[in-house]
Amino acid sequence: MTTRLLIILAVLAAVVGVPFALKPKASLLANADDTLVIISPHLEAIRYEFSRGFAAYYKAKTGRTVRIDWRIVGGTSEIARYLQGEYYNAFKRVWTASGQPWTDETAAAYTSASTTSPARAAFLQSNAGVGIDIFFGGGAFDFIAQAKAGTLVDCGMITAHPDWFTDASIPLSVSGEPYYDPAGRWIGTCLSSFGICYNSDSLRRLGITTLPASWNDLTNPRLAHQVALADPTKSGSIAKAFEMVIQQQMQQVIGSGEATDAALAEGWKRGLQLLLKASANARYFADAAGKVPLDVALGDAAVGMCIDFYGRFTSESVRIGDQSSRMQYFTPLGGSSIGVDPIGLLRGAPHPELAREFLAYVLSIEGQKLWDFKVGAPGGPTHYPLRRLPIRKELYAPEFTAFRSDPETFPYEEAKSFTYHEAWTGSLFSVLRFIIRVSCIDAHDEQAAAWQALIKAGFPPEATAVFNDIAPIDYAAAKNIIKPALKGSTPLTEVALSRTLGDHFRQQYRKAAALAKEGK
Amino acid sequence: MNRRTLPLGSIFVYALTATFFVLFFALPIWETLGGAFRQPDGAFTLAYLAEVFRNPIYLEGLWNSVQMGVYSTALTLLIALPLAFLTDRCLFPGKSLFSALILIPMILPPFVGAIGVKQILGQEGALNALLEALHLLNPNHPIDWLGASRLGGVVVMNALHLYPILYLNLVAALANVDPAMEEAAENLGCTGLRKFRKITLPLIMPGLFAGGTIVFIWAFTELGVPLMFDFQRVTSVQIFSGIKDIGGNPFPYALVAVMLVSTVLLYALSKATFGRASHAMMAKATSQGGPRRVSPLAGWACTALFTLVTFLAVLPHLGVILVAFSRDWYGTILPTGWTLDHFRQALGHDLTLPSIQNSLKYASLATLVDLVLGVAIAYVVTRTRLPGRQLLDAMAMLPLAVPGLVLAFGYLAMTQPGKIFAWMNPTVDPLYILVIAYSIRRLPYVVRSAAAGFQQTSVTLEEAAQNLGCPPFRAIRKITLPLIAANLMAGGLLAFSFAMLEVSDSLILAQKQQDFPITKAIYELYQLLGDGRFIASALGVWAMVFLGVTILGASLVLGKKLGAIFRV
Repeated sequence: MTTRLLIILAVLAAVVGVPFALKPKASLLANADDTLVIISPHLEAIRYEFSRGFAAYYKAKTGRTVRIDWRIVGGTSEIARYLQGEYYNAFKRVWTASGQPWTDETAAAYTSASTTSPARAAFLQSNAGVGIDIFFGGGAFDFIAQAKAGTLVDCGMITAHPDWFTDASIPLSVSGEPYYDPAGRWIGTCLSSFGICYNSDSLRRLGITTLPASWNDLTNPRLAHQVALADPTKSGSIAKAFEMVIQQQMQQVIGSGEATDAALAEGWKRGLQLLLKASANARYFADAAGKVPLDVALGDAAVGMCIDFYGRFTSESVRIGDQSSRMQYFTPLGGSSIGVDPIGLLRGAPHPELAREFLAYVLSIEGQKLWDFKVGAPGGPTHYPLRRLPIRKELYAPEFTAFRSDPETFPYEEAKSFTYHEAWTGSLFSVLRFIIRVSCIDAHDEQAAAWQALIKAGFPPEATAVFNDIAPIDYAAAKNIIKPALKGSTPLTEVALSRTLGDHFRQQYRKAAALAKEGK
Repeated sequence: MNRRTLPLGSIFVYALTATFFVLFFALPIWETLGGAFRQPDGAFTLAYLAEVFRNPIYLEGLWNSVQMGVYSTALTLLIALPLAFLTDRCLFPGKSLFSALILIPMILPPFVGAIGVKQILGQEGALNALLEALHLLNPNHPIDWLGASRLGGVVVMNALHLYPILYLNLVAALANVDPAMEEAAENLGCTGLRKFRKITLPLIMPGLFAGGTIVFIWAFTELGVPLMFDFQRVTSVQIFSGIKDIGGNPFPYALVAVMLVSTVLLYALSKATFGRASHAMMAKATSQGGPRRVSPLAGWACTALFTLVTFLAVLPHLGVILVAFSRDWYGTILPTGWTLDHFRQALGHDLTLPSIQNSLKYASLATLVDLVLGVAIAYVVTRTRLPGRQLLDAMAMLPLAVPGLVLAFGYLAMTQPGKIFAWMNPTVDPLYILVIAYSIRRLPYVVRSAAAGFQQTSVTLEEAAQNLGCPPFRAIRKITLPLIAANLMAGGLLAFSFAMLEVSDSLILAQKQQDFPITKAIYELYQLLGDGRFIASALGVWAMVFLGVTILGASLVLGKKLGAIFRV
């Protein structure tokens, strides 16, 4: 018995011992002269390379060692919630310390851009901080929201390096997307777009002979239950991608003509119908960005919608030898804008000068090389190929082509095929999210069942018309009924509205299914 | 003199545990749920709650959750009861091995567990590859096990994951049954199934109830498994989805409140129906009990049954292990190409060693807290007549029902600067709040195990000790605690293992890399592009091996198998 126990203890010691034995020599968590605190949704690979790169840069410049204290709380929605809570407490302390009472009015006003309340002015002048220097990574959507709330401050990069902020280096906006805040509160660091990934084996198995080339290909009835979609209610970037689908349809209707209300309404209708059908084909709406390319690579979904660098990287990682990978990614031409992944200095940063050094590094040519250079290339990453596209145009010069992981990708060229028109759908951003939630996500079971019934019956006209009916959520309804209802709503009325609309669509899908079964 | 100090001591224990609960369970829940009961102007409202019941989607979700809970528990009982019965009554080849490894199905690491399942049950997974190789399946029309099975799939997976809990409690309960009772029944002509139904079953009710409630609540509120099957229309997934919505509407918290109340109601219902009987027994030395030898054929049949159930239950684990060693695994029964690279990368990673140290620290401390608190609560509930002890009992079970994210956000909120628990701020040092968070979550296991033990051990033993001059608390310490030691061991083991595998608190509260527990390290590695799932699986395998060895060791320390320790 004791021998058995001793063996068990020895095994336990061995098991625990292995990680000790394999411990890396130098630890990036070790103590250093200076510490920089960054909150970020970025993956471990990006954090590692930028920690290492900045440490080397800073040491060469100042002779001091630096350590980055990364705060990992989750994705951008978790970070937004975290910052909101932290700044609330921080400013409340500042406000009450000045002797003034903290009321509900104060709480609502200090982050509101549209009020003249003294609380707002006080917040914008205060140095209320949350112990974090930099917010690094997310979508422009998230950073615009933080800048509006007042949690981001001018980092001084534009004044310090004006030559970086020209059309030859970092343009102000591209294809309708903003690339940095003119007031310096956030600056894009790298580019990303949305696109389609597919599994060639699955497509072959499903009898689909032409490869997908556009968003419309997600609506192919052969793809029933084989499409992996991302959830627009969980991420601003994904919601943006859905908006792009609609804008592309609008652009196609308008052509070279005028953007009349009728044309926009028709484009909105086509776009929504496309999204509804893609949704009917969907297995799920993933909240985790990595789920879609992973499922497509594993063959559990034939086609999916994902972010470019996830798609490219996963495609490469499942490639066997020299053969073409079973999973491919592409950004549909004219189907997506090229957006940015920004960085910004937070209000009340404890180490502002060090933060500015980091910002300068990330935006310098040296820092920009980390994004798309191959591992081991001069100036490139040492461990992980990041497979992201740098923002500075200089990096796309011929002299760097040999070092890049994606030498054939020129996002600034691709961006010319698509222009984002803020006026068309910009104000309907939250409305679109709401619409997708009530008509597609909440009612998904009924929607998918109706779609199956339609496919089985060969798309009889009456049933199909019922399925495609988007009258309660068309362009006019979205602007004139839903938007005002949401704007003036309390969370409670919003929930009630989603119930009534949700009920409507569930009934509609059930009716379509019933009609299809009758062959009508 | 001694009798009077007992109520005082009990009241003190009651007050202490109740305070702990209010501060570290009720308060964080209120922090997060409060929004669902407040109108924008601050007034109290039940309108959100009403809205849950007006919307057919959420009503369907609730109904599906109830079904999920009921069917999972029923299937779990169907699996666990025969196994427990065979363990108690028969000697068969490999029995000690199976008993020692009984908890293995439960130690599936998060995130990578889903990968393991997907590699086996996916459309291009191992099972379909096997069926295709046997010419039972057309490669052009693979079965979509995960996408098509929905509730059925979820129920089966839940049952295979949770049966050890019920099994352990049943084995302990069966071991406590005085053989004299059954012999008396047989002498009077009651045998076989009738004897089981009329004598054995009522006697093991406490154990059945203990395990059954945990299994039911767990299955009712389970999130990971429905997500694996993309089964959206259950309350847990609807809550998760609602919380992550960037709109920030507090409505999902009303759903949480409904789920909490439903759990309490269902728990109260099951307690009233099954949990009241407590036929305490005393001496076991009056007759020869214990497992008997059976015919070799019957023996091997037992072994076969155990092997089959265990194999099905550990399929996800096998999936994770194979992934960790593979280069690629796509459309084949087994991976193509093997490598140790992923282990080297995972175990040699910067994140790994600190995360292991952290997890061991947090989990051990939490288990200690749980043992102390759990015994205290169980004592108050089973041995005293204090009013409100049933409320304490129900509260002690609630942590099982609260969605992980809700408690985690609550802890985050109440440790902000300016709040009473600001000194426990996780960005400074998450040790305190993580240990408290882990211990609150795992408390139900220890409470139920200890309560079952107390219920099956007659109070007359303590009274006898007290009559002989032993002070009440000393009597508990010297008489009762040793008798329920195996129950505590079982509960403590469960608490420790699950604390090591805890997800929500770890993700939300451990914000600095140096504080990450192992589950967050697995999550971070999982996010690495390309090889992420392989490397994370390797770390997951390490966690499984560690927990497996720990469980094996604990079984050995107990002397023999978990159940047999009760025999004198």
